[in-house]
Parts: sequence; structure tokens; C-alpha cells
Amino acid sequence: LTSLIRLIRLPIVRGTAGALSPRVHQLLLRQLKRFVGADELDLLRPGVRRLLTAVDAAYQESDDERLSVEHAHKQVAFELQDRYAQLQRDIRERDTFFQLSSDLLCITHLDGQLRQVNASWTRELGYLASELVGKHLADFAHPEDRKALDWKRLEKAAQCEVRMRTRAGTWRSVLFNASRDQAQGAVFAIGHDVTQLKQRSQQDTQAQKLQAVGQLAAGVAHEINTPIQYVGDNAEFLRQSFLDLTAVLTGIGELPPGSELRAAGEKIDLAWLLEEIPKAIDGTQEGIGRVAELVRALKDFAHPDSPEMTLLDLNHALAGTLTVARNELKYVAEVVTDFGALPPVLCHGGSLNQVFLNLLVNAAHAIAAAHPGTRGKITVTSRNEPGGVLISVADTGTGIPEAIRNRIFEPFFTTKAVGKGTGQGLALALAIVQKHKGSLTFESVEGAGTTFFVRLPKAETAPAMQDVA
Amino acid sequence: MRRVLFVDDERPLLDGLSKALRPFRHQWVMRFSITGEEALQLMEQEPFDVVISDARMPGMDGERLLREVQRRWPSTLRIVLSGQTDKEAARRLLIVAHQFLSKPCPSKLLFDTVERACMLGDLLETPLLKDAICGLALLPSLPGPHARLEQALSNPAVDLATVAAIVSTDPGLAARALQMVNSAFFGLARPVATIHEAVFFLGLEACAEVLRSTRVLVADPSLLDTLARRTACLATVSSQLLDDSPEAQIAYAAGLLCELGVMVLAARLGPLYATVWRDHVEGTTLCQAEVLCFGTNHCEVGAGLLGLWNFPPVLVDAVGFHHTPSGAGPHGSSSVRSAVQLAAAIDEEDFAPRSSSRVGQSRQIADALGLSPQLASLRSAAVEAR
Repeated sequence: LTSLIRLIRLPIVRGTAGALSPRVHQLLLRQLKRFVGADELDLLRPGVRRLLTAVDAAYQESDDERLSVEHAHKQVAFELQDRYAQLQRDIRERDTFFQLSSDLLCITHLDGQLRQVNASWTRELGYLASELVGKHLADFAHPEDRKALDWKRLEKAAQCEVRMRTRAGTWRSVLFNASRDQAQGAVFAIGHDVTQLKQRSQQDTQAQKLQAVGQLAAGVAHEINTPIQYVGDNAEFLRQSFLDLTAVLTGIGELPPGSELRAAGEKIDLAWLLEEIPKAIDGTQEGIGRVAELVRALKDFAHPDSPEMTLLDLNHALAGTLTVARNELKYVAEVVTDFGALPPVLCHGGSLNQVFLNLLVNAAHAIAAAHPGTRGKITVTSRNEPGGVLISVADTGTGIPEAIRNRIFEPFFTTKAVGKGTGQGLALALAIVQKHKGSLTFESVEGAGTTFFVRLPKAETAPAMQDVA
Repeated sequence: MRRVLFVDDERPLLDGLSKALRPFRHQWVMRFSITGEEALQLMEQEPFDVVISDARMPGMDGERLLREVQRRWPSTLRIVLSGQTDKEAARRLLIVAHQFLSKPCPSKLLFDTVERACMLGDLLETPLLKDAICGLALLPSLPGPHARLEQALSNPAVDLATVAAIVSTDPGLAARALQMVNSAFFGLARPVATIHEAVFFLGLEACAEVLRSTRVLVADPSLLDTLARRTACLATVSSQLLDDSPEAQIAYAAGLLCELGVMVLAARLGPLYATVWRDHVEGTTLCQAEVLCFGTNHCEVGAGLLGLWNFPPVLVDAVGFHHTPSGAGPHGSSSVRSAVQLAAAIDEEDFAPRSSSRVGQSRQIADALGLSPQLASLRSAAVEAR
């Protein structure tokens, strides 16, 4: 019976029952003949015929069922294929977004280990995905900022700004928006590079500060100039009238000994007074002159930045900046100036003063770092060259190590201690010089000093003669 | 004795001035006033040659005081002595004041400046003339350049080179630009004697003020034409004479400013100057006609004004002697002056053939300067410039 059943099942497996039924009938009959014998089979023929009909019907029925199942199966397969294609498209689109974004996108494990990063990490920071995945995000952040990237205690979402190291070793300021997905055991983070934005806003702040200082300086100058005028006038009066008095008073010393007036003169040490009082007045006048000079320099230095370009006498500006910066420089360095005759240069307000000040202060810091306790030398030179005007600031400081020479103009790059430098000075100076279509370069010998060169184009003021008519 | 009135709201400042200026007590009679109102009362009682005032004072400020002085006593010299640092206010003050001195100002510099400024007043004999010249507020400007500058400045994108090119064609505009840039307020380390430099130092905002402080000269059309022609000719030929030397642009400014005196006289004393102009057209030299009428000529008036405004001496000298080849200036003879003189002679010969005495003068000057070979090319340059 088992083989019988096997026989009956066979066509279902093989294919359509109808086409095979004569052969099945034959097989069935042969098997029946073996079991019951040929004679008996003849006797059973009507029954056998019924059996065969039933078998045929069963075949037919199962075949129909199979066809409908097959049909339904195909239907589902088509549907699946469609949905799969759609899914593929969706994924591709999302992936394009993921890779196209200029933001640094990443998925990390809950502990911050990177699972996936987008192409921006290569474009912006220079790392290959293979160098990142598996490492911790914090490994690429500035040591001081790593704490902000500790997402183990992240509740749901967080925002933090961190400095990220590029593959080349420079730093970018990145603002991360992270959100934690407990179910997927992942943190999804979007990092936006805010370096330029920050730099610009810092420069704006710097400009605003300078503007405020300028207004203050102008106000102070106005207030101080009046007393300077009359202190100076009074000192001048004292000087002149004391000259007149001296002529009279000298006579007292020549009176005959014993004279009352001569004795009085000796008592107050008249000869000494006659010698010292003019010196005291000279000292007063010199001091007043210096105060006046400083106020004038401060006023010029804080000249507000303006969008309009007007001419500036660079030697005058350099001298003024040196006066303003005197206090920063005098304890660390002797300042030597060597100014050549210069044509005036077109510039925006007093912004070039800012460049000179930054270079001077850097020079002073470099010297202070190189020889603590002793004075170095800062040489400020100006030259009129065929290609433009050249200003150089040379120091006898530490020099710039070879390794960081290509980075010193980068925003936020600083070698100074925390709180000492913003890392903005040279970046700002470069931005200002470039705004004036000039160049800022340097030469440095480690251990011997650095010279910065500011080159500015000459103003083209040569007139194009016009007809008067 | 010169009578000088000081006005400042700080008593110690006035006391200081009175003491520091004591060495000059034999040249100056000095009075001191603590408010603008008090200063005006003093002026009503006695005349003053010079008023030296602070800018910012409670009540009547320096600008208002000086404007009042200009209106009521036009021949009185008006000088500001201020610690003022606001540029815009300083520029406004420069229109009403003859000079701007910055605090602190040493007493000797103060004295010298005032004395130099007074030279013009000493030169002008009649009160009428003195009032006319010293009371000048808006400088006369030629109609063409004035309109062109107005149009140029109405375009916010205009560049300084364009503005400088226009200012370089008008004595009034150029004079005002140079006056502003050379005032003590501007605080430049050296004097500026070329127009392009002045405009580039000033910037657009100040150039707008230059335009506002000038007024189109209304006069006989033949006079206006002559002025435009002579101005162009003198400026161009003078600068060409010193071609390739750094003084070429200074000579250009000097040549341009030569006729400033004519413009000021014509603007302030129009009807009188019309008769001078008729005499000139009929054959008298312009300087002679002017002297007959006013007792002075446009060279002296022009140079006096430039001196009053603290212009670089080289310009004052060239303008003052452009028609007087034999005269020696206080600073000796400069190449700029010679250039302007030759240019003036060339122009005059071409246009005043009837005054025969002057024919051949350019040849003489050129010979004296060793420039005879260039005379022909200069003549054609003169024709071209017109």
C-alpha cells in the first residue's frame, strides 16, 4: 500500500495528471494484477474502473489546488520583488543623502564606537571610513573636548561643540547633534563644521571691540587734550618766566657777603634751585609731550574700520602702533625701526594697525619664550619696492618649528598657553592683509628668530588727465 | 597790535593760554571769554582781528559762534582750537573756520599760524574787499565740474579715481579738498600738495562735503569760458613742464589753483568784477585791471586764501607769483613756480595779443629756465588742453 500511495503521489510531483493518467492506469492495473492475480482482476473490473475514476478525480482536484497555490505564490513573489526594488531605491536615496551631506554624519554604538560614517569624514577631515569605523569618536576630538562626547549618559539627544582633529593634524570646530536610539543600540550624530562661522563671528567681535575702543579713545582723547593743552601752556610759562627770574636771582648770589638777601638765598640753596628748577620744568614738558603723543597715537590706532578705502601713511601708522604697543614690548625687547620713504597705501580705516600690532605682540611673545628674563630685539622695517610696499617685523625669538610652519595661519592654531593666545591673531592678520590684496609671509630659523613680511600693493593715484571742456 | 579773542569753556585752559602767550604780549592784545555768548558781547564792544574758539562748548558751540562771527564780522579771522575727534563735525567746522588747530597746540605754533593767516587780511586794503574775501564760506566752483561731481557722487558705486579726476578740473573743488586734507584735524604727518592724493586721503564721504561746501559761480559767460580754458591750460602745461619729476602733480595743482583768486573776486564782488573783466577784454592785463579796481590782484588774493588755509608753501608761492616772473617769494624760486609762470605766459600770449608788452615773454622765461627747445611742444600742449 505504501508503494501504491507513492504511485498515486507521483504524478502530482511530476506534472499535470491528465497527460500521465493512461500510464498511471496501466501501472495501477499491473500492480493490482500482481497482488490479486489476472483472473480475480477481471472479476473486480467494475470496481477497478470506479477506483481509477476516483483516482483521476483526486488527481484533478489536487492539481487545481496546486495551480491556485502556485498562482498565489507567484503573486506574492511579484509583490515582494516590487517592494524589494522600491526598498532598494529608498535605500539608495537615503544613502545618497548620507554621503552627499557636507555634515559629518555617523552612527555609533552606545559607547561612542563608530559603526558607520559618511563620505564627509573623508572630504572634510581626510580620514578613510576604514580608519574610523571601530574606533571611538572621542579619539578624534581635542583632549579637552572629549568629555562632551561621552554619550553613555546621554538621555535622548544632546548638542556639543568639539574640536576635531583632521588627518593632517589641524583642528576644525564641529557642532554635533546626537540622538540616542536605545532599541537599535546606537547613537546617531550629525556634526556641522562651524570653523569658518566661528572665525567670522570672532573677527566681527574683534572688529566691534576695536570700534568700541576707538570710540572710547576718541572720547578720552577729547577729554585729555584740554588738560594737556593747559598743563603744557603753564609749563611753558614757567620755563620762560623762570628764565627771566634767573637773571634777577643770580644777582643775589653776587651780593656782598653778609647781605641779608644773600644769606636768605644761601639758606634755601638758591644756586642749586636755579640749576634744578629748569630741569624739573623740562621734565614736565617732556612728560606732557609723551602723554600728548600717546593720546594721538591711540586715537589714530583705533581709527574705525570702514568699507571705504582711503590713503594711509604706513610709516606714521607703524610709529603709532609702536607707541600704543610700547608697554607690551619694552620689557622684552629693544625696538629698532628702519623706515624707508613710502608712498601712501590704500586701506580700510585702521585695520592694518591691527596687523602690525599682532605681529609685534607675537614677536614679543616669541622673544619672551626664547630668552626669559633678558631682552631681545625687534626690528621693524619699511621699504618701497617696485612691486609694492614691504613691511617687515623681525624678532630674535624662538623661531617657528618646521613641523608647524604650514599651520600658523590656521584659525585657532596656537602654541601659546591656554588663555594667552586665541590662535586668531595671525589668521586675522592674514585675512586683513588679503582684504588689502597684499600678502603675509615669514621666514624663520629655529632658535634664532622669525621675520614676518607684509607686502601691500601701491595705490594707483596717478591721475588720468581729463579734458576740462 | 593784533586783537585776538579766545573762547573756551574751561577757565584753566584760557589761563594757560594767557600765560604761555605772554612772550607775544607786545604783538597781540588778548581777550578771553568763557562762553560763546560772552564772546559775541565782547565783539560788539570792540573789534577783533582773530577769534580762536573751542568746538564743543555748552550753550553756543564753536560752530554756531563762528557762523555768527562770519555773518556779523566777516573780516575777522576764524580759527578753531579743539580736541575734537569727530570727523564729520570737524569737516563742518572747516567750512565756517579758516583753520583748525588741534589741542594740544604749542603756543609758538599757535602764534605763527595766526600770524601767517593774517597776512591775507593785511594785504587787503579796503574793508569791502576784506569782508568779501574773509567772509567767504562756500567756495565758487565752475559749473561743469560741479555738475559732474554731483552726478558722480549720486552713484554709490563711484570710485575715488573718478572723483579725483573731476576734482582735478576745478579750482574751487580742488582748493576745498586740499584745505580739508591739510588741516591739522586730519593729522597727516606731511603736507599734501596733489589733488589725487588729497581725494584718496579724504575718501568719498569727505568728498561729498567738498561738494556741499562749494557753489556754482555765476558770472559773465565769457569769463566762465576763459576760466575753464585757462585752468585746463595752466594745469596741464605746468605739469607737462615737470613731466617725470615727482613735482609734476604739484605743478598741476598749482596751475589749477592760479585762477582761484579770479573766481573768489567774481563770486563775492560780481558787479565790480564785471567792470574789471570789461577792462581786460578791452586790452588791459587782468592783473592791472584788478589792481586799479581793488588795489590787489587775483594772484595775491588766491595766494592769501591758500595761506589762510594752511596750504603747503610751494602752492601758495606758485599761485602768488604766477604772473610775476621777477618777484621772489619767501621760499626762493621753485621749479613748480617757474613751471606755472611759463604756462601762464604761454596762455596769455595766445589770448592777449593786444597787450604787446607781454608778447615774447614766454620766450624770455623759457630762455631763463633753459627750456626754449620745449617751447613749441608746450604751446601745442596748451592748445590741446583747451
